[in-house]
Amino acid sequence: MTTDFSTPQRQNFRGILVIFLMDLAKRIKQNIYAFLPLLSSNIRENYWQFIVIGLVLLLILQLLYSYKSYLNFKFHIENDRFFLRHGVFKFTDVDIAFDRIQNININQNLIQQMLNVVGFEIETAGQGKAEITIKALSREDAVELKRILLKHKADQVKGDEKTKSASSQSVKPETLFHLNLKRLLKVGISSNYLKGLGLVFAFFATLYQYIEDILSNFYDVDVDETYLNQIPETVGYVAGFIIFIITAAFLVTIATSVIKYFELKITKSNNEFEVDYGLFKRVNQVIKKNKTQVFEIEQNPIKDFFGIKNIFISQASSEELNKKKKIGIVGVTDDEIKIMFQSLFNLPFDQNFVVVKSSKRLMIRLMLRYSILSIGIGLGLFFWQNLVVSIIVFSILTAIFSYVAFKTVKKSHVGVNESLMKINSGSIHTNMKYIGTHKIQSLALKRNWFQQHNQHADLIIYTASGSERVSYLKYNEALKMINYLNYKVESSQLSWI
Amino acid sequence: MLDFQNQTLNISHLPRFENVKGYPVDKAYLKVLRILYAFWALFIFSGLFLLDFFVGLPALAFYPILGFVVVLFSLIILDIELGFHRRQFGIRDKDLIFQKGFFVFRQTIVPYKRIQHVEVKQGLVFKAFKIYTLKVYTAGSSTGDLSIAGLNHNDADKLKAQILKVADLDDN
Repeated sequence: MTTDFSTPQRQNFRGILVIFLMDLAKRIKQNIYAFLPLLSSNIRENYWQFIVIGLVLLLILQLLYSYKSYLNFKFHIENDRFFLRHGVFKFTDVDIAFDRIQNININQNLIQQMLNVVGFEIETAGQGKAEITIKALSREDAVELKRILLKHKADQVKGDEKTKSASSQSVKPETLFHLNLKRLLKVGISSNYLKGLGLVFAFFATLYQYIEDILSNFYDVDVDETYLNQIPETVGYVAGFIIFIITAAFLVTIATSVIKYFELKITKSNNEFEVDYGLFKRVNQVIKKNKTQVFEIEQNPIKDFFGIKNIFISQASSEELNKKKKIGIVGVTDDEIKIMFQSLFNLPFDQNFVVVKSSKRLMIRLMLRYSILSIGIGLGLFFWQNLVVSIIVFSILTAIFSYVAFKTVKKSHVGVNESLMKINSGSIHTNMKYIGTHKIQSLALKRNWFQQHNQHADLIIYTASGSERVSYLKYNEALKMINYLNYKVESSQLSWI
Repeated sequence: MLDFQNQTLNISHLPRFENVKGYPVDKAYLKVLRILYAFWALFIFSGLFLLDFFVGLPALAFYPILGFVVVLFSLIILDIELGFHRRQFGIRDKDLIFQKGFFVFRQTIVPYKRIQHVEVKQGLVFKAFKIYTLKVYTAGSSTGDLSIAGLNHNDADKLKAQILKVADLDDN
């Protein structure tokens, strides 16, 4: 069955359900705090009729809204342009010329997997939000649409380099890298636990009231009061609680990385890489050589022990990049990094850089920031507990922060050579960012009041995928660096995209 | 130390942006800034006092808020008054330079060939003083874009013309 895209098309019929469920999930996520009062049994008992009626009404409204938005969502192709009309109360018309399309992603989240449809994303390099998401298409339609939309691009490439593409077109896409479960577990174990810890804490913070409710129902006591009156007994309880939290954070971290990067696979075809990953939400992303802005390698002591590293690739995007938008290729070995690096930059991985280090004064800035945090925690503990606890925690925090700040200063440097720049950062972990100098959009020097008087400057580098900052360089070295980089940008004939 | 040996290029021969002659923005812009901060100060302080008068804020809340607002405004006013002479733009063959700030001094270089589009804007107060804001957009993050406020008509036009002449812009 082939679909004729030249007439206005709706999404797949099952799309109604997909749109409804996805909208619903989004609404619940946005208004999660509106459900908090429900945790109180008092409110539940007295107002349950209103709550049920209200929820049913909202559900019906949402269903109508989603149905209307399904009906109004129509797209078609005409004269090498992609047209889309969508909206519920007001219509938006989108019109994209094929040659403006940068990238097409086909992905499938849990809802879409259950209903056997795929999501379809069109990325453009325009200003502002020009991205299009079609939430439900059958897989055949999606593949066909992708083929049509990208055909123009392929033709162009063929015209540019006839012989090359002719030979490479016949070559089947080869699998470059396949992450097995064993290595994926290693990635999970060597991840940053702070995020997992944050998740666990957030989880308990929202449920704290609820847990207290249950406990006080069972034992008929006020948790706060007994807790304060029986400090010796609670020490053991607190220790147990901390161990529990740490274990939970450990497991949550491993689980999230396994779920996110399950069956990570990279295939190489022509001049681009295709990355597939995800357990519940299967994501398919394309890494294009000329769209790549920043090539980031992440390592830490545990990863070194396992002999693995993570790569994150940022591509030009119309939106500000966050961690989510970076394409992560986790658990790779040095050899695989070399292959990726070589094919993205056309340069060997071993590069010599002229290096400028951050000044030791950066330590003062970092310690000032950290001390605000540790003083805050110390004061909080002082009022909540007593002076001894607060002083112990404060000194431990200060010691940890001093070590982290020291490591941060030691690792912070920037290097340049003929065609690349490398920004090194990190504290316990190490982050190396490689950027082709011709990818730089603009440059800035920033000097706060102290830096103006002690002759230092922060160097900020803007690329199409966000900004990078190198803190506290000596002023005259920062000047040389910015002049050199600027010269490189302006003398280069290469395009940033 | 930085040492670019082994290269065909001698670092000391590179064009140096710190030696570029800077042109100050129009003096009228200082008047605009003064009007704006005077307006906001009046608005916020009168609002605070009126709120205190009619609702009766507790002293524990009122004085810290008042102190915070006073410190904030004095910092803003200092930054504007002392930093005004630092608001300068420079034009070179291949790039545009802008610097500003007293407490945080910031110098930005935008190469013409990375400019996506240019915009000349005029706000309400700006209109009365016949000054303009030139905004230069790159494909980079929005903080890397340049916004030169307080140009007179002549400078704004000249700058825009220079950028359009050199930059390879899309026609739209």
